[in-house]
Amino acid sequence: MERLSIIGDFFDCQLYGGRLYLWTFNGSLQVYNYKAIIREWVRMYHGGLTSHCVLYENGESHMSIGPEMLQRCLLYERDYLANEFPTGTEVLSSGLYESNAKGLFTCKVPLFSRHINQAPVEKLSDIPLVYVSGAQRRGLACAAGSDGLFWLQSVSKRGELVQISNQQTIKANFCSPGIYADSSVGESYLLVKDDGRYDSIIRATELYPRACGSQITWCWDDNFFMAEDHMLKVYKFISSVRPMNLEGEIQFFYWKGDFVSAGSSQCGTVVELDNAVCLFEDWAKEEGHTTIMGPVTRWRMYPRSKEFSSHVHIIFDERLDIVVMNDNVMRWSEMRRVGAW
Amino acid sequence: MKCELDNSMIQFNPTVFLSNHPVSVTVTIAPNNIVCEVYQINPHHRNGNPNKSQWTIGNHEEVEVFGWSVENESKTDEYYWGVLMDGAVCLPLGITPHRLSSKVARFECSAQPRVWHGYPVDYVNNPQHDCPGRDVLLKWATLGIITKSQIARLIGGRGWRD
Repeated sequence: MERLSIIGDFFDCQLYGGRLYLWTFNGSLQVYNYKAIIREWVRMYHGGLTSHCVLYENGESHMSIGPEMLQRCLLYERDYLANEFPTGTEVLSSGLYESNAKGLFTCKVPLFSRHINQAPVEKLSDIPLVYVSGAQRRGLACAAGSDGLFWLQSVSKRGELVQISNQQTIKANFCSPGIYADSSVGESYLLVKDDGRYDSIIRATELYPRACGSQITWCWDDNFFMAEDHMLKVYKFISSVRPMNLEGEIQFFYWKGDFVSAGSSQCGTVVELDNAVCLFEDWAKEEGHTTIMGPVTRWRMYPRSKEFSSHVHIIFDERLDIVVMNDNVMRWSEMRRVGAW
Repeated sequence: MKCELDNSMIQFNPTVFLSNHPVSVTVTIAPNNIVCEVYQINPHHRNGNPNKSQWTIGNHEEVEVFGWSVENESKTDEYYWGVLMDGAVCLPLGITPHRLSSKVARFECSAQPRVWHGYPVDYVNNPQHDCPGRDVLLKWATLGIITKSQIARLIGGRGWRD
């Protein structure tokens, strides 16, 4: 897999509308022209510019973009929306969202600005949150730890957060059947949307054969994943009344540690463990798998992105790595779209 | 008893720490910055009550963790936050009602009289309430107590992972 490193002390990232949003560890939010960064990468790649390579602990070397080059792609910079580390971030056309222990915050995303931006911040809720994820037409799913799961039905009309579950929840994402929620102390669960409401709940022990409640589970589309005891199992969801089919299993080396978090998109699966991040382009193939040494601060996939859905961003102590899950897509499809050749 | 760390000094009076007995904690952060607080061990966090988090460290260590949090000005809003360090290693100091190990203590103060008490927090079950704020976490990162990846996992409900 191709990789590019952006040198810097980052805490979180988002990609939306051709812009890269980077939350730095020291409290600023920087917005970059992502297409310009990718164009620079392509220029280095084809120019064979080895002076821009970084050598990592495991002997691998990858191209990198340093602070000066990055500065040229900077569109604007501002403070965090609230003076807390964001527990969750989201960018939609309606605005930028940050969740933290003080609540949910938003501000507008200016389209054209090269200046320091201080668009007014609006506090949408006082409920302390540990994760937020959204979709333009489905609203925001907001995990609130032991306070449960909340839903902001419409990001354009605002309104109040509505509690849709009182189960302990640390992560929640929209999926085909509804919202899939992950818990750190109890069972994960699927909230199925019916008549515009999330009333129907299916627990992990009902979804997965032999689930005991101590594993990490997640889903993408109608694929459901369960990671436990150094093993990843992939299931296909058929219906809420029929057991899922086991599609495949992958064993992990013990040195990688316990599972921390995971996610999937149409381009593959990312599994974060204590000491590594594993990326699977195709879980059914042995060679379609890359291990990157950790630990990592955060990683993100962008399944809703039109041009960069195959890009994965992984934040380390001193850099952010852009990993392209499918080299062919990177070279022949997406690069062409952004005008790289 | 005097406990000297770097340029600062912590003094306890009395030097025997018992439940429900107030201890005067005087921390000299700098020559012109001396903080005096009263700390009292709360027996509810030492009586095996399964509904409350329980200290698994000794009385004297509990009071010393409070002194450490004052000395390092690990305060957000109304709480002090503390950890138990053994060299460069952060040690567990209690267990939560979910029987999970905890490495972070929170100290809160009663209004009248002004007396502090503390307990291990449940940052896995209640990450939205039981994690220190950004200022404290930044300070701890500067001190080498916690890494950036550990902060991200802690505030996201994944626990304090080594």
